[in-house]
Formats: sequence, C-alpha cells, structure tokens
Amino acid sequence: MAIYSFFIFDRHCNCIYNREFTHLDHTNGTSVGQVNRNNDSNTSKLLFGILYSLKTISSKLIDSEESESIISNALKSFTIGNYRIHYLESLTRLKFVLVSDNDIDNLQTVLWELYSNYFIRNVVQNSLSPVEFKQSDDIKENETSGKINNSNFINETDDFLQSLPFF
Amino acid sequence: MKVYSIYILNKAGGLIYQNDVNAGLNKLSANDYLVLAGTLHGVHAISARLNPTINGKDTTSEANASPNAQILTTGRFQDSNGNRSGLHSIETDLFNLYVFQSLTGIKFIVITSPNPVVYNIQTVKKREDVIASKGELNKSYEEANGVFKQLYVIYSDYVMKDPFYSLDMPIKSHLFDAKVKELIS
Repeated sequence: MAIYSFFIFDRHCNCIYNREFTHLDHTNGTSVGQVNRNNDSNTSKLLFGILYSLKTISSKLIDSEESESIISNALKSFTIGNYRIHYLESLTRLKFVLVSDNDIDNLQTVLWELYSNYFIRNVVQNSLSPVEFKQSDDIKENETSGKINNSNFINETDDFLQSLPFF
Repeated sequence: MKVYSIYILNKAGGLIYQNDVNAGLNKLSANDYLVLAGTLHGVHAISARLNPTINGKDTTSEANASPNAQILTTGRFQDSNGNRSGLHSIETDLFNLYVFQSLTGIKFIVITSPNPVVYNIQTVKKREDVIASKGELNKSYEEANGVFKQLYVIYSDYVMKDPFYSLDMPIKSHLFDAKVKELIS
C-alpha cells in the first residue's frame, strides 16, 4: 500500500500545491519526491478535468432531497487502472486530492485531517499567506506566488502522511 | 450490492441501452442521459492518458497496447474485460459506478449501491487505526465484474445474434430486456 501524490486545487481550478512521493528510498527518513514541480503540467490539468466531470455526474445522478443528512452526493474516490484517487472538497471549494494504489479504500479521514488541521492552521490562519493564490493570469511559469510554499505546511503534511501506516 | 442502473455505450460514446432496474437514482431527461454517457466516455479516454503519467512512473507496461497479441499467442483471450488503464470505478456517498469495456470497445456501465463497509469522515484519534477496511472496494469491483460477465454473455446472445439489430444503434430488444431483468433479480 502506498500514497503516491497529493494535490490541492483552489476554486479557480489552479493547482496550488503538488507533492509527489518517491517510494524508492525507505531507509533514510528524509522526505523524497518533489514539491510544487508539476502544478501546471498536463497531469494536474487532466486530473482536474476528470474530477470536475465526475463531480458533475455524481451530483446529477442523485440529488440531495431524499437524503437530508448529506448536503450533496459527494464524490469520494475513483479508480484508474492501478491507482485510486481520493477526493475531498471543502465548502470554500478547495479540492484536496490524494493518489494511492487501489488497496486503500478510503482516505476521507486523512484528507479531512489535512484540510481541517494542517491547511487551516498553516495557510488559512497564516496572515502572510495570500487569500487567492493566483491573482492574475500573467504570472510567469516557475514563479513562486501561485503556490503554497509555506515550509511549515510542507513539512507538517509530509510528516503526517509519512507517519501513516499505509504510506 | 444492489444494482440501480445499467448503461451500454457504443464505441463512439453514444448511449445505446439504458435500464433503471432498481429505483435509487434520479430520473433524467433523455438528453441528460446522452450527455452523461458522453462525459463518462470522455473521462474514460482522459484517464487512459493520465494513468502512466501519474507520478512519472510507467507502471502499466502497456498491457493495454494490444490485447490481440495475447489472443495470437495463446489462442484465446483470457479476460473479457479489456479495461486496463481507463476508469474502473467511481465511489460516492450514495452510489458506486463500475465500467467494463469489451475488446470491441463497447462499454458496460453498472451503477450500484455503495459498499456499506467503507466508512466516511471520522476524527483521527490514533494514526494506526485510520484505515479500518482495505481491499473492500476491490472486492466489490470483483463482484461487479461477475455481473458484467453475465451481462456480456446476454448481450452476445440476444443482441449480437439478433439479425435485425444494426451495429452501434440503440438496443430495442424485449428479449434482452427480459434477460437483463432476470439477471438482476
């Protein structure tokens, strides 16, 4: 069982955080992988497109009137080949996405923890971090302002994810 | 696992059969069903593109490249499900959706009730017991595959062997309808 990567998309469809884990090196404890390398890559764009379409489908097929306890029929996960993609959307329409292998059934708890604990504390309550990550379209590639570069957030989420038994 | 609906898509993504065998889903307009089918077809195609590039790893080893190669070497095709790298399943709070693709590109889509074992949001008390279930979704995928195989047999027998059926056109066979109903109940 393994977690491969972690994405955050904001409500303007931008990938504001992207963390990829490499599982080659288990012996040393340092985090391996890449942070914020592929935010504008085709992978993250395709992933967002799939999420968006599936979300529309799931809300269309069952509406919430019958089941009042659930606000809307939320997409939880989907499987592509050998990968399972877990999805959580906050009320502010921030999308949290974890890619894992398909032995892991449900990471809603983990996603909620990432949002409610780490994201809220380190990004939302951080007065130095911007409210909207991409203010304009003409931010050049590899510029830092469109992404979460908060080292506390990166380190704490890394520690949290890597401490999970199925990482 | 209770089956809500069965859809069949032709290889171009058009909806050729739609049957709500059990109540549970919204009734949509005919146009909405076509849009739905088209969207799923598109997502399936995008997924196949996305799959090897996630994490920059090429793990699929092109099992998808030519399923025919297997037929040539072994004389028969092992698994009727040709869906290797595309979208397999979707899990939401209120339903699960499974996709099966035949060698000829026909997609069978089944929407079922969600797996009751897979729980929802809980607060993390101890990191060790975050995951209570593993492999449950794979089990229900296998279960859905059983339904697909039987459905494929019925499709071959009562649609493909129907002399009045023209390929890629909507299926309007009462016999097929009856057999699907029989399979589900």
